[in-house]
Amino acid sequence: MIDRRSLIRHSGAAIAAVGAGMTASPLRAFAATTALPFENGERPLVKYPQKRPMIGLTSRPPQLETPFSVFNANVITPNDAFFVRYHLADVPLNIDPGAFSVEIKGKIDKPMKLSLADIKKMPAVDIVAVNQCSGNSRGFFNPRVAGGQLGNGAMGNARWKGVPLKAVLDKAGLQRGARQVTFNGMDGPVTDKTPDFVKALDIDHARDGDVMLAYSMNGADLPVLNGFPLRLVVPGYYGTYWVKHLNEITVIDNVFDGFWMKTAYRIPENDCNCVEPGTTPKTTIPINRFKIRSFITNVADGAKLKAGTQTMLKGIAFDGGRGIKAVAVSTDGGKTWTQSKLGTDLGKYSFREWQMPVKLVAGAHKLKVRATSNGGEVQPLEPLWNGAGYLRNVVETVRVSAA
Amino acid sequence: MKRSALATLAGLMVSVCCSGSAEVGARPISYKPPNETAALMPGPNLEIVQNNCTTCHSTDYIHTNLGARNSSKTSGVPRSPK
Repeated sequence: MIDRRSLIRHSGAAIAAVGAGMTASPLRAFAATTALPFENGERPLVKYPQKRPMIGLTSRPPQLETPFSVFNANVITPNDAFFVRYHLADVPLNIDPGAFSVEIKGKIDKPMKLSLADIKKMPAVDIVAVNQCSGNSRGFFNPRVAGGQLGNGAMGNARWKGVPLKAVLDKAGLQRGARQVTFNGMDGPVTDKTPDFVKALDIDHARDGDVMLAYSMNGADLPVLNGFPLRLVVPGYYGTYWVKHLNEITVIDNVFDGFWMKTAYRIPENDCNCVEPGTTPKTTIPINRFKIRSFITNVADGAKLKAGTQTMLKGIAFDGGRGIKAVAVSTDGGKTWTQSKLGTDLGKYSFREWQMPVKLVAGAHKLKVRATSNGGEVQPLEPLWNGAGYLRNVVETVRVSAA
Repeated sequence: MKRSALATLAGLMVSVCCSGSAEVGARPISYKPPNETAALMPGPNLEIVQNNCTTCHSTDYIHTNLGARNSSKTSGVPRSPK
């Protein structure tokens, strides 16, 4: 067993050793690779069961990023292209849905275990909602920060079907003093000193009717790597709360102090949830709702467009649950902005498509896209920084040339 | 919580995966991810890396983090809990 003290003592040497120990081409075993546009951004394209070729981040635990072109093909992200993120390497690979149950316990009147069949007998709801990793786009942070070095593909938009957590909690009967609900899944650590991955929501949030135990994604069972057979869906909240393979729900009368709430997944406690690059915040809070974001999806950085003819720009926008009010586009690096036309409204938690025709004169152009929510939130023109590499939502810039 | 009715036998079972439309009560699923291929090449202090890092994650994670030098000491962010 490795103890933490020796890890800390040797970490400097370990980094040095990796530098010496890796070959110049660690990806040589893979037939296909791709390059994310930051340092050490070379990635293998890997094929997993139930998934199309995906951008491989780590193989143990499996972590897969969605190729960005997927977001241009459909406002709903297909199950076989949906990103995968695990923290702990003991991933459940043999799952019997007939034997599966989720245990409800703690400060409730009627402790119970609900089978998948029990849950499917309850009135179902569905909701289209974005799931996005807290560290989506971490690879773009400057100065760089440690953690999964992701491009923009650790997000996806799906139609989730299941039962409201509220219905399950009502069935169990909350007791006086219930303050938070914790969620644990079947995945676990490989050493007994690593804290299990457990997350918590405040009781009012847990009972808001939108938080869901989902067994279906885009009309099909959840893929194994997306939490089969049951996962928590927390619309508008970063993916860290969307516990996969959910099999334990505990109502508690205090504030949960597990590692993944109290120590990890914290953001600066201030208006921007940011700090001066390289500095440490005085106080922190648990990460929560998505920051508003938008992307151009049909024109890649470095693209060559035809000058003097109309090009239809299109893309997506989303926020933490107020819904998208407007998406503006600039073709002159942010000097002037034009409102785009929004696509079908699939709900306040969904990707919202937008499109706008542009006509570019010959030369280099910086295309920018900036969303505004119904709550008035807008994207910052310059990136905000925090030491964990969370919450990235800067106005995106796509550099193109027209000829 | 470790799973109870469900076993983890990583790598020992053949994949029978997995139509997306299977109804509840359908057959148990065995999922077999591809083999881990990333590896560290021989070099100084290789054993330290293997002992301290690769128990919990594959070595590709180390490679992609080269250049991201801020540690928990400077960022206030904990890493690799044990």
